[in-house]
Amino acid sequence: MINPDALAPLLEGDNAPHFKAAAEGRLSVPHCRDCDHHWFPAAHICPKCLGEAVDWVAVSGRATLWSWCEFHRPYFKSLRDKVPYVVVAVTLEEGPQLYGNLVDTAPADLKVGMALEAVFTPAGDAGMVNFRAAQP
Amino acid sequence: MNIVRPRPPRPAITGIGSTAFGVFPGEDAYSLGSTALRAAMRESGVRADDIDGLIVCRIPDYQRFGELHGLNPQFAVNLPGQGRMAAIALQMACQAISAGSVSTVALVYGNDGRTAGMKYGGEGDGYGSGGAGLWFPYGMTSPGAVHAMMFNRYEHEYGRAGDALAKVAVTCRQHAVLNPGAVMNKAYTTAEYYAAKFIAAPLRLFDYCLINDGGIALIVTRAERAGDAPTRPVYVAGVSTATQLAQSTFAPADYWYSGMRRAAAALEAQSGVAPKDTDAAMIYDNFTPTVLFSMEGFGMCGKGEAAEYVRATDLGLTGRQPLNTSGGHLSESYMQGWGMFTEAVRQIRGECGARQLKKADNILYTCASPIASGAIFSREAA
Repeated sequence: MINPDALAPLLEGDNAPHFKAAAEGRLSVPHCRDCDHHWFPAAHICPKCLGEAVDWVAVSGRATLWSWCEFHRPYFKSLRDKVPYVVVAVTLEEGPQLYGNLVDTAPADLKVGMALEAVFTPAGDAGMVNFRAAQP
Repeated sequence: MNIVRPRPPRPAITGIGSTAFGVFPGEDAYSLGSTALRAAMRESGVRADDIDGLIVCRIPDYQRFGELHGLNPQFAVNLPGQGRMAAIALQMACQAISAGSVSTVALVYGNDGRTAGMKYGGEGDGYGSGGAGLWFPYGMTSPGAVHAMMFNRYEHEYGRAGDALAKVAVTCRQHAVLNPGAVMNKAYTTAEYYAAKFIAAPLRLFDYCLINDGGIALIVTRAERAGDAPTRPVYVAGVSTATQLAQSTFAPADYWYSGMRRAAAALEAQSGVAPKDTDAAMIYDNFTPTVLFSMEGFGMCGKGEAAEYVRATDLGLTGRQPLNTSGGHLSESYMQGWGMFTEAVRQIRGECGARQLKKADNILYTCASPIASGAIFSREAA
């Protein structure tokens, strides 16, 4: 269960490999060996071809900005001192989408479609996948 | 020899019931649904023995609910407490009646979310495919935030929407002021809309619907039987759904447009009425941007044109197609579509007092979501 007072990614459950990989600086998502489809969150079969040859693979971390919003209401106690903060929705080069926090980038510089890159933020034994404007 | 196929039975609503909306400690989904159901049964003259289908929504257990009311229907089912289920419930009832397998279906919605402390952001957030907890560490929670992102992207694609969201919100509140059953009855100005705090920017407080307790019920029966009821029957001329479930952890890049187009086409085929030509539109307004998306999806305007359509159109009671005459989810109460069904019925019956429309022959309901859906309620049987 997520502890709302100390938000951290779960290191158990279907998506644990994603957060464990992030702790090691890799962006990992499920992948189908049969049809080369990538997706997220985890699923035991490929949602494209329904094949069972699923493994986790590291992807590039290159992404484009789908959209974002800025949270002003702290829905969790632990976020009371963090508002306002930005959550971005991104589309990875390999296809899957992710939410993440915006880091090292001014919200005013955001533009739908801009190039982003993943950065990894430690969170206990797990890692979080956040995004910043792609560095030249 | 000509073989004349009998027309399938047509569904009609002969009874509705609703509780007040607000904060009711001591009530729960069963008691709220029960109050509404008994009111709908009284109105329609239907007895427990007449009910041969039971559809409950947001009420935990159909079995317990049936037991509480001494029901032995042919079928019974419960649907989860999601707004997109309202049209599903109506569609199931109408299809069962049209198939000839049942005559009278009770649809019951009970929502104690306000008293239960239900919030759509934070720990209780179950929005999205399989729940939202995965993203909590990023502070990502609430369907409102998803809609804020959609609207942000929408403005990038189609240009700034100007005061479109404000106009939708202010209009709904003006209608709620004329509705004694509405939770909110104080009008606000466009300036006050902009002065309200951001929740998930670009959305502000008045872009969000109102969580409250309440119950609503409908009795749907074969039109041939509707004449036995003491009320004026309201016909369900069409009801349709279309889903977009693939990759639905994230909002679709078309803002559910393709699902809505499918639902709208089915609605027009069933009813013979284009959604844009109905006398009022009850548009599911959990957040103001969905109203814009729905206007496009159901053909009131072209794709990407909703902001200009809202700017140029009178959405009020004197307009060609008034919006959310009860105040909708933004200002009457968030009854997850069900309050829009009862409002459509009351408008067609002519029971709406100060907010009564002069012409209410066909009333539209729409919902933009992973289950896009719509219904047309009609004064006359098709």
